[in-house]
Amino acid sequence: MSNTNNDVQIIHRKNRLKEKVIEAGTANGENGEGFFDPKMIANAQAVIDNGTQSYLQEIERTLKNLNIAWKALQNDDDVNAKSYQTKLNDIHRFTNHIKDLAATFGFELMDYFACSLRDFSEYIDTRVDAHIRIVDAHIQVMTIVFHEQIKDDGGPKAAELKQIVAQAIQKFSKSVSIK
Amino acid sequence: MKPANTNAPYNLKGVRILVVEDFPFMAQLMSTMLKEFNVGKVLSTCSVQDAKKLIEAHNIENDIMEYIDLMITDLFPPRDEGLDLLRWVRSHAEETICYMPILFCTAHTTERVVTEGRDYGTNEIMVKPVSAEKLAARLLHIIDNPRPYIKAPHYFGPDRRRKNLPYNGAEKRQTQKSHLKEVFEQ
Repeated sequence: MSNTNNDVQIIHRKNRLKEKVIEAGTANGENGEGFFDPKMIANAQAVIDNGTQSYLQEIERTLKNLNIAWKALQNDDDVNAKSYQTKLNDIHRFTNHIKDLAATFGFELMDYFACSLRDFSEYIDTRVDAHIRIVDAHIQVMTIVFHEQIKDDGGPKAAELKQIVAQAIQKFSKSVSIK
Repeated sequence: MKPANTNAPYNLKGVRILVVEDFPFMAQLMSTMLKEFNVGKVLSTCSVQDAKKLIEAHNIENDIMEYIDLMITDLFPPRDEGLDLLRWVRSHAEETICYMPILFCTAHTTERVVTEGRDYGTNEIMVKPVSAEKLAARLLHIIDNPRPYIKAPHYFGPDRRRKNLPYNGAEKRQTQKSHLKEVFEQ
């Protein structure tokens, strides 16, 4: 749709969306700013606020898929194969989904670990033992966070779990410096 | 949100929105929230390919009431297929598609993603996690503050400049005024 010559057009379109949402006969003007019914917004937020049970079911399902993808990746010997990259992508997708879910439903600790694993997934090389330990440590603590339904980001349990992952990452850093 | 200067809330009954999300759970969550906003019709899909088919099925040679009025799409990391969908919409030959307002929804707030989202022609970006207040604010912004579309040699989409501030620096724009044309839709 972009121009092929050097001309630049600035196109002022009719605001069709606004025309659709303005009720006939109300005082809404073409240039005024409108609003949504606050009750509707509250009802929409209630969908999230009351959705903890469905959140937990979805996390359980996604953790299961993450485990399957992780095992499949470890069984794939050819890191240069397309199938290997596809499995890596799956790990990224599942952890990103867990991160999205946890952040949406207010499970900060799960958000923290999922984000950490998602970011690490870009570097995973299953030929490196330390990488396997790091991913295992993440999945292990995420499973604990899920089963214990830890919602906040504080407390000794959270600190302990973060310590497990931090130690695994420290080992990974050492192995990289040796390489 | 800015205080309203009207006495009746917007009515989304006549609006159709397409939700494109990577996972069915998030698509369903977003759709349910939009239904609470009283959106007339919410379509959803977890496939970029299906999204393209849905858009063409609704917005070509159809009654205007059947058009998809707005699309909300995820980034689809790590392959970023959401950006491909943005590019596809903006490069479409049909005016009923290429001008479609798009809300780009992502948890990846790196400079690269935000810049690419803007340069591929999104109208607004909503940073996840999603909340009802955030969703309402982004939708209102799209409704109330549409920017003109720019058709340039290497870009088509909403004007990427959001503010028109005074500028005293050196002139960087290369387009001569004789090549600049303003078009007002009647």
